[in-house]
Amino acid sequence: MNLVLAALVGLLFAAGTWLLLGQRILRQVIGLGLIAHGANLTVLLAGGLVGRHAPLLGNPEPRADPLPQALILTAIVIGFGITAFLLALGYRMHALEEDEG
Amino acid sequence: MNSLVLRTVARVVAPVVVLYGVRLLLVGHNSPGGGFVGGLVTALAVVLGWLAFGPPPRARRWERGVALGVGISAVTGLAAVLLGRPFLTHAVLYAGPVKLPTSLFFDVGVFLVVVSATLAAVRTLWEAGS
Amino acid sequence: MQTLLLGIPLIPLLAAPWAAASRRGSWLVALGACGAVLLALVPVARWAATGLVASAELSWFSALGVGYRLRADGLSALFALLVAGVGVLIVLYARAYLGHEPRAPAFFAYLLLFAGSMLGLVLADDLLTLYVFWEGTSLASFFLIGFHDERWEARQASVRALVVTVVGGLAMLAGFLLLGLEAGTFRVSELDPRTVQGSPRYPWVLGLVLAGAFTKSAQIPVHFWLPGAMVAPTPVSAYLHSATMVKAGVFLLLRLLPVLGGTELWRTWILPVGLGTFLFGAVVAVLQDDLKALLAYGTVSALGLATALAGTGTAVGRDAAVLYLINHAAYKGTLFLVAGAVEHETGTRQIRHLRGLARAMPATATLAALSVFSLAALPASGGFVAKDLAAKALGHGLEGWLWVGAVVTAAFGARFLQVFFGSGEAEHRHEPAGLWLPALPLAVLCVLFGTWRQLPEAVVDWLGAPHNVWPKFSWGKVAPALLAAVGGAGVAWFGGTVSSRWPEARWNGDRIFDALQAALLRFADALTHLSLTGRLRDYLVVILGVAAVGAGLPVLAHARWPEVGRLSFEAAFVGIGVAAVLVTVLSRSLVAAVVALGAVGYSVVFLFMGLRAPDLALTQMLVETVSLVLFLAVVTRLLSADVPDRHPLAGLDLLVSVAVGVVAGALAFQLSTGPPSQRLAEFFARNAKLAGGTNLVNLVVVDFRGLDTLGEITVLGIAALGVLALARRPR
Repeated sequence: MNLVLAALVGLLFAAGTWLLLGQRILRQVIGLGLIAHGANLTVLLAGGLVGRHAPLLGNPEPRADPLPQALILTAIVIGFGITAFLLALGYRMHALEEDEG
Repeated sequence: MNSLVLRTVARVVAPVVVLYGVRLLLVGHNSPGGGFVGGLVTALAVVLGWLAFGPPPRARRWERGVALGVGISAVTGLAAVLLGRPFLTHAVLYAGPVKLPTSLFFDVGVFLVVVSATLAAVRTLWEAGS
Repeated sequence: MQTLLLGIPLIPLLAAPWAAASRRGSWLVALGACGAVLLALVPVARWAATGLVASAELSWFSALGVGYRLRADGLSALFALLVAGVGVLIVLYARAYLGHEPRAPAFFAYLLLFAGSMLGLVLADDLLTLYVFWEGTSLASFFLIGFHDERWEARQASVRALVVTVVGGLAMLAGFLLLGLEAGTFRVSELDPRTVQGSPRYPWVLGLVLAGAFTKSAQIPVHFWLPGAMVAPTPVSAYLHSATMVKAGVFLLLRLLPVLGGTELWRTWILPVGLGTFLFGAVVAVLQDDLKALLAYGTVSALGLATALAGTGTAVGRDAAVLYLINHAAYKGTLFLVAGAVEHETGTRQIRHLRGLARAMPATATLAALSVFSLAALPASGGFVAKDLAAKALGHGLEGWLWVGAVVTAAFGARFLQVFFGSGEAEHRHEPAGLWLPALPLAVLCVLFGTWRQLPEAVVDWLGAPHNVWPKFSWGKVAPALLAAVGGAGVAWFGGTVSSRWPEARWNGDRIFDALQAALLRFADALTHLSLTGRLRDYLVVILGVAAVGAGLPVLAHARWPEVGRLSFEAAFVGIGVAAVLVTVLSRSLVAAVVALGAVGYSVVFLFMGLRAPDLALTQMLVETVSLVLFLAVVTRLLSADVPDRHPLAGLDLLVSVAVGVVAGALAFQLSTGPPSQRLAEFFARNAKLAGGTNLVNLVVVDFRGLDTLGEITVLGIAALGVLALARRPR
């Protein structure tokens, strides 16, 4: 399973990079979103996939490590903020280009 | 999208979803949920209302909600400083059978920031896109 | 006493900002500081005169054995007295010379910066302390040469001087570090000559230190910065570029003579350079038409002789060098001050435009004559005593050079005096006392050194090896000196006729330096154009490519061969995710790509769920939904911007993308195979009661790592403000 997930991470990074290197703003935002998914999965993988249960105290051991999950939670929300910001930026760039003709 | 069906559904569903979002905020300590999730659910309910009835004619001042949320979270941390503990140290208060962790107030701040920021982004980009 | 020693370099350094801040009284501050140093040096010098050595230190990098250490033996005390004494005279002169210059406070501040650094340099007993002060003098010299920074030549000359001396200084620093490591100490007085000279690194140490000494003391072929430095105000030329700073190189040789000197290598590397510079400088000096340029080449010549004397590696050579340097400071200082006075009063320094100034400026002319006598080494002058000892030091083999040099030296001295003789319209000229009185003590010194036996003997005495330095005034010695002077006058006449027709050298040091500088700038320009394209894509290719290679090599080096292991049902969601990723890349339709991104997100949601992360799954699902709303809100507006425009180097893009993907995947796999640490997980579970909850993820977010979350919501808030600012319609 690790290998399969790692392969997905690799694909996410590769596709994200490819889109990021293009010149189209919205595709670049999409690329960044892919890379963010890849990074989140990497952090989760680094925590080890030993848990059989969610990190709730009521659950029996072995539970998943809560720390990577908390870090990813933060990352997801920040990623959302960045996406919104980049969309606004793309919109404004486009509006300025249109104004210039 | 401004159909009768949508309006009828939204009239019933949106308040329920808002309540669900608040519930997620409150139970976050013990089961999946918390300020982030609750905030996003609540914001989505509002967006649903906008879809059905149209967005409010005047853009609200969302930055105030953001500032209020960050302020609440920071102030909950300062309380510990006043008691001589490190910044953002939380405690559990007991009022009879009711258990109240002070970190819930912190989460309320998070909730407010998420709701305000999400709605600000949706409303602004929506207007910009149309 | 010891603490007093530590304070000596600090007095001018601390007075410098004060001088810069005071307006009209800045010269008084400078005078006070130099005077205070002179007073403080009195007890130090008394000790040195009796053979005692004052030393003191403050610890600095104690772990490296480096400290702010000062030590005043005879050599140091002599140079410190020279720096402070000439400093007092220069400040007095500069006050009259600068007149109502509005930037005089800055001038005096730089002068104090120099004086403090120079004092630290000559008193330092630690190699690195010495280096710091050494560069301090270079820096002060840079500011002072470029004092008239509105002129291009001044700026360029200051840059040339700085680059040459600092590059030499850096080489010297490398030499010092090698020396300190070989000897096991950075304390100059504890360096052991046998250890150092027996080391296989000795030639490196010597070569690097010599690079510093030769650049500072303007030896050929890097002498060119010194004549260029003449664009500085004349008090600076007299002080830094004649009497003191340029002697730092020779001082360094003398300071390290007991450690590095006395070897064959020392002689063969230093003597030719010194003697060559001596003759070259003198010959070029004769051909100059500009008074200050003449004196500058004369200084180059004198520094060459002093370097050669140090290069003999003997005690007599050392004594001769010191005696010669002190004499040189006296006569050359005087001559510079005279040249400054002449320029100040006539407005020109061109010898061919100046005649008969003796009538209008009798005191100045007398001072000039006295110092030229010493320059030409005529009997009963300090120069005669110094040259006599120099001849003894060089020995019979090399004495001939000295006499050839003496003739040429006398020649440029005569050229200098030319401006006072003859008849010319000089009625309107006069001489303010402020422009000749400060030179008087120096000129008197020239005479005293040649007539008062105790003076040169005391100098040699301070250096530690008393021996007879007073020359016998026999015909055998006096006659050659007189002959040389007469010959010099003849050469001077010849030089005068040649100098007006002398073609400007095509490839002198200045031009080579400027050409190198221009080439460097062109190279930097080309590099900038190559690397800064202004296109995001180019930067990303470099950044990501380097990251892929940099992270990839160690990852692949430690790679374990992967095993597929047990597949669980989540593999199905991976399959959906892969398909969706391919759609985002390959789809021509922007809307399809956006929806596909959402699909990737939802498959990640299911993966989170399968990997026991319900909070993540919930959050990701909601974020994915809201993001989709945002994308769809703007996508119609941006459709027209979504034209395919792949760069012609798409192959490179593909390569970088694949490399990044491979490395990221390998890294993720490597990370997942290590034994996971449960320490933090256990800590959180143990302390969950304190936080009053059971959802560990939420507890980490709001309580254990609350500061992270506070930062995060701040970022989210700022992003929202950014959206509002960028996309909100103006009302």
